[in-house]
Amino acid sequence: MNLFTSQLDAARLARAAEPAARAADLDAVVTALHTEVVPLALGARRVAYAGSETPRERVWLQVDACAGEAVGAMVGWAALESLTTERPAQYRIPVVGRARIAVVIDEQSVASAAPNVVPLLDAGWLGTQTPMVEALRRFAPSFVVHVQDWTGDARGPLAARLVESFHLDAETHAALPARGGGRRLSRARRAYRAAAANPDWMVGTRTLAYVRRLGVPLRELLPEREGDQLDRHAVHAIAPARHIPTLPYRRLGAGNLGELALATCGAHAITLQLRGGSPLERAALALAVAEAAIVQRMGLVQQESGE
Amino acid sequence: MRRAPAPIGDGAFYLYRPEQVEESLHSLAVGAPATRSILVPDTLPDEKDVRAIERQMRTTYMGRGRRALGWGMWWLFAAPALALAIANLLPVLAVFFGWLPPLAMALATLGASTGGVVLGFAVTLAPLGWGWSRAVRDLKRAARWRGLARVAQRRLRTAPLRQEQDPALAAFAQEAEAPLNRLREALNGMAERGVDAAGEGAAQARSIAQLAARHGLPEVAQAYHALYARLSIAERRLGPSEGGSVLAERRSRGEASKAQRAAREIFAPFRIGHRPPASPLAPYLGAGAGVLALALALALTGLYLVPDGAALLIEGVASRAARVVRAGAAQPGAVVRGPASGWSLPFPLTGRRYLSLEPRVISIFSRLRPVGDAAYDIVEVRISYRISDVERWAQLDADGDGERQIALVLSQQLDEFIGERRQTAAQQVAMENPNLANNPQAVFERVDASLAQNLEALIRIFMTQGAPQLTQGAGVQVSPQFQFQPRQAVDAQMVEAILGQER
Repeated sequence: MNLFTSQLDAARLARAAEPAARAADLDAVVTALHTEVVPLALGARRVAYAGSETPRERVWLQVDACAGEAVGAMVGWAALESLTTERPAQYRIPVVGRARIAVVIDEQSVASAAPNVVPLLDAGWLGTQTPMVEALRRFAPSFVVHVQDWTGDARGPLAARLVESFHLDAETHAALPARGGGRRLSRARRAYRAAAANPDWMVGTRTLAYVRRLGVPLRELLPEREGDQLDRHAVHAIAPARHIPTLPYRRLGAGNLGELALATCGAHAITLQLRGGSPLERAALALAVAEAAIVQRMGLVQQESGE
Repeated sequence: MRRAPAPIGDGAFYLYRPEQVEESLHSLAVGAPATRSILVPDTLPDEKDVRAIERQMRTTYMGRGRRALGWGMWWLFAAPALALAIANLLPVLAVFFGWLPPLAMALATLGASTGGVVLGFAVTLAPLGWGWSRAVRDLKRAARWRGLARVAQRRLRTAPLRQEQDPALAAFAQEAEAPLNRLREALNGMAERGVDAAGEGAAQARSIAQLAARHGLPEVAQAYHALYARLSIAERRLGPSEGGSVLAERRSRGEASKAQRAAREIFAPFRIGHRPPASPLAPYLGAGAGVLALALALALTGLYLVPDGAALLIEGVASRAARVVRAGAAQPGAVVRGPASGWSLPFPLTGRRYLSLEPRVISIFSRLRPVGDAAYDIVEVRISYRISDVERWAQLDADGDGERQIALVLSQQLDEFIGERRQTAAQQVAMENPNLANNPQAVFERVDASLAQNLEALIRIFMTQGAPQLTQGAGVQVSPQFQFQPRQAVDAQMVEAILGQER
């Protein structure tokens, strides 16, 4: 990892699972940062802000779990610790120097039932409480990374997928194929090619490539049977583990936190849905994807490699 | 519509979302209420500006409708031209596949040799169907755009107009001033600064788009987002073009001007005074080009050249259709002897067959003697013939199997001739050798031995006396020269099939 370099291990997991230790660790990393308390019905959440006061990029990083575990707390702690440490990291200084990062801290693990099939668009099930959305609007992000942990009691290997929210020309969006690149010489294929040249589309492509280069395995989150995914018509499967909402669902609005951010702030958003694996694996994947998305959005990798 | 600043171009810009306007016009067309809104940051717009922007919108839709109609008319006529061209090109391609005869035959017959009439029709009509489906699509599109233009012309004026100062627009205009100035600088300096200007422009356009979204100005956000996407593409393309070579610099300047032009095109439809292309001549140009393509296709595919020593059989449209669908027998049609050139309705509307008048070689067969119950010793005779009377040959060869008929008739007659000579010889031997009268096997052994010695003479008699008379009515002349090859123990069924006999 070249940005979020915090060490995640069993000891860290144990501390994240224990409320007092978790709170102490989080307090330690946010001491020097500006924080905001967002009151929610089931307890408050803190938002910690790190980075430049005159940023070029405003990044909102939020982790939500549908059932009680400490993954969100670990990710929040690791993100803030990495951004505030003096430990050398390739992208820390450019990110902190050019961006303002808002990290939503998950301090209370709320128990609730995880669905059997993870919805592609959760309609705001996770993380869109009104005070939270208002805080997001006040921050006015230009880029949102929302990690949704849908594990709950489910057991199985770790799987993940991205649901991306960015602007596309309406005609191109409407013509996109349901899956993949579409048939050759078809209008859908032409629309796919036009959309794939969109800079926001390429951020998602490069994010997954970056994660692969880091050596972090990413197995696509799929239902046991294809027919179980009742809302697959709501998205275009633009690539393995990558989806964008269809135009009608984009117009309905509020498909998830990312869609809300796009509609209200014009922010590019990447929603990472996780399920299965151990808490450490999920936290590691979440941090890897968040790092990849942020450095690709900010064009740091492009500049370095001279692409 | 919202009046908002634009990064390039002069004058006032009223931004709107085209897809939303189209949906509103659709709703208006079916009687749903709709209002027009013009929102401005400061002073209210002039009525003339409102009319001007609506007029531009109507002209845009009308232009699109005309262009779509032009394409529809083009495909209407170009589709049959394409079908004719492909149907005549495939048989030409067949010549290059002589090393794979089944494919060559399939190409020459447009698939009919493998898939029958159905496949032949499908191959012939597929380009026509494809072209006409595009014509239908374009004509529908034309009707849609013209419908929108009509609604914009007749119904939009009656929709109530709301003109207001929008505080959100005013706030946006104030906050966006600084990034907008940087964006303008970047666009103006793109030719000199290249990739840096494109990157800077893209970043500023993106931040302005997000600022507009935060202020609840989706029309403005959409336009600036489109600019951001285009400048990002320019940044990617300009990156590799940067370099010391003259070619790289030229590419870089070219890409920079394209990006500036694209920026103008993104905002041009929103500028008062912009004249969108009305394309009044598009339908006529489309129809004209289509008719020209069809005429050219007919002219080129209908041409024929018949070399010396050859003839062309042209089967008429009705006769060919009847033959293809097996509703009637083939009629010979017109005959054109070479050297000649001309024009007639092209293949596949008419049938065309080139005939060489040069000598051709065929094989005819005859039985010599039975070998057991299931085989015969036969003789294969290779002879040559040439077409002497093309009209008579055309009648015989109307179905394309004239040569087979000639070979069959000659084989049958040769078989009968040799059979009669064998019987006569057997009777002669029995008369001269009464001791063999009760031993037919011995008789035929002597006869067959004699036959083998005199086979060439027998065949020569047949070729010089019998064959010419037999083939006179077919319009062919058989050469008296021949070569023969006895073959032993050939399967009886095969022999009978060759001779057209059934057991």
